[in-house]
Amino acid sequence: MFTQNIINNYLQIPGIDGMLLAMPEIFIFCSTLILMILDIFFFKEKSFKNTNKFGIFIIIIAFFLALLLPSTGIAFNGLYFVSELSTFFKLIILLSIFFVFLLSHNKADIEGIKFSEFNFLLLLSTCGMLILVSSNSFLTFFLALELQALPIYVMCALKKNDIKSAEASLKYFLLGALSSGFILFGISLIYGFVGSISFEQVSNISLKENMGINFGLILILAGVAFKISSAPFHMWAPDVYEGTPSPITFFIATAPKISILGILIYLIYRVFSGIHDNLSDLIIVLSLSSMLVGSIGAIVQKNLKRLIAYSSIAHMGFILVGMVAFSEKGLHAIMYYLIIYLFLLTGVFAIILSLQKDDKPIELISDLKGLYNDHPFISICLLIFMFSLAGIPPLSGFFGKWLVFFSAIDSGFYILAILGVLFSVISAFYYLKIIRVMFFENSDTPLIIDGNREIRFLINLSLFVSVLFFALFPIFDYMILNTKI
Amino acid sequence: MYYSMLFYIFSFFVIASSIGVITSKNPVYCVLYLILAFINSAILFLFLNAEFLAMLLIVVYVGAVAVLFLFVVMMLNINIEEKKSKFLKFKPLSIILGSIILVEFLYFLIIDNSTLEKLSNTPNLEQKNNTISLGNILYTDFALLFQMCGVILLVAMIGAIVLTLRKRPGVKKQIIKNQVDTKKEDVIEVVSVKNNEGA
Repeated sequence: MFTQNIINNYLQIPGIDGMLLAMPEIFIFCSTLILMILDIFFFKEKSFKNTNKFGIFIIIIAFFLALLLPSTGIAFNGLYFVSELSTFFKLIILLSIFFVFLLSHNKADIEGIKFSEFNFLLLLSTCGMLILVSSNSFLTFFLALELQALPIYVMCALKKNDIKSAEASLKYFLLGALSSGFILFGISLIYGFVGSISFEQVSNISLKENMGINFGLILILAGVAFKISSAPFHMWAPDVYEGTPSPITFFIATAPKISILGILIYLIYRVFSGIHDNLSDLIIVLSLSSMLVGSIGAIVQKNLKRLIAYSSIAHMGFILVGMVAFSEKGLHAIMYYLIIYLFLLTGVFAIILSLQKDDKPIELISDLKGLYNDHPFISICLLIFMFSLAGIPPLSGFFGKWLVFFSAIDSGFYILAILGVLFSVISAFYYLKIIRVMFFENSDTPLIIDGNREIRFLINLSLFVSVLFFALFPIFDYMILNTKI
Repeated sequence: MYYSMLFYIFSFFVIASSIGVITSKNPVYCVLYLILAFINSAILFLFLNAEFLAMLLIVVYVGAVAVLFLFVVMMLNINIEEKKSKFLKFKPLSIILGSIILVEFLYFLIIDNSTLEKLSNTPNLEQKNNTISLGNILYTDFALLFQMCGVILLVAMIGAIVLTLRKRPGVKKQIIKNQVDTKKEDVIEVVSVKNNEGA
């Protein structure tokens, strides 16, 4: 178990030196501003493609800034905080944003999102996510949450002539605003009972018997569960996933969830570690209901993206199992799971984006009919991703689930682990259904592959990671096991 | 004596104009009463030495929110009769909510006085101008948060522009650049017409 008050071991870095800690965020923000001006005056015709290329460039530089600035500490008068864990989350977030840029590079036209503002909003949202994982006060936490969410609401509605896109954006905006209201109310309760919004002060107070703090914490947890679409707060996810253009769906499914899970880990493992006993019951309920809704709800879906939405709800349930375990093993299991999940989703979305039927992107599961006859390689890739999502050894998804359930058993949550494995078996049903459709059913209209260099690279990369995960294990081990909160 | 009399006068105006908001039949009058209530409560803030909050109330609520309300109310052609019948439908709910708030206020005023006394123990603000002290905190201790609010507003601006700006083909529009760039030679042709030969 963890000892408390580790936060205080980090150094307060005052003044301008502290700003160095926030170098990736500052770099992304400033270069986005410059990029906007460049876009207005210089990129006349190829506005989207050029800003997209510059965006990729900015993200790569920010990645290396986050990687090569190894210093840890507290800056901006205790509002901002960099630890090894937050750096780890920043790196995965930047990686997923990099994938979003690559996926959208040549697909903006057909998806109807060809606005250079797409790239600006993506970069600004990234800025919010990076601040979110290293926030050290409830006020920074809330503002960063809004900064990462607001661009996403706009991006959902980018496909202007599509009524489903507008519906998705409105739903996401209203429910997101509601959940932000929950979080704010929780924060105000905690502020009222503790007298401070700083994470250090909150973690130093013994919180066990305080009704108000517990109530505030429940509200915060409910708001966060909304944002990571964990059941019973998942209702928005299928509609939003279905309505938004595919590159943005991929974005919603990965980066914001990773960042919010990052700060949730920090809240649970550090700030509220004193009342973990009260918390773990709540998280068990969240996790079990997510697994239930995710595995049962996906069975009846016909739309491919709705199915992915339900599957992501189920995966959130599996990740929360690691949160329940409340041990170093559980923490590492979550980190493994997030990496694996990111690469798997990248592969699946790259395949969905590259396939076309009748000059339109595919939408339904039945559109995959005859994929094996037309394009054997792509169908085998999709088969591997589906098996991996279902958790079949020796593919990467198996290791994620194995580590998560192992950590739960290690901490004595036997029933939770057994139920998790059961739900995992149920969820294998709909992954196998997709495989059946593409291998054993035929259709008259052929599927066309419109894959370009970037998308082929992403498919190959995620194939490599998910097949050879056991071989890459030592690298990830080195990355993850050396990470302290 | 003089001080408390002024306080009671302005409080009376706040209550009277709030009653006006919910009772007057014309929605435009409702909004005007609302503005009156805001200005009077701003004056009440001045009594507490909170001059920054008072100005903020006038600038934000009167200057932006209430004027926006006024525009919307004037643009929507609300039928007065219909409005009245809808209000009556919510009467039971509003009575319940109002009585809950009344009970809460009475509890803190009469039974549990200690919380109120703790809260009213404000620091002495007479030496320090509170606009200056707010500025000092906002631009030093909370500079990061201030900047983040700025970025959020920037995102809102970009979002509003990208969602509403659309270029439809075939729409006749004034292009100011073309108008300004036009030279005399392009549009005026000087023709010397001979006598008796013009059309």
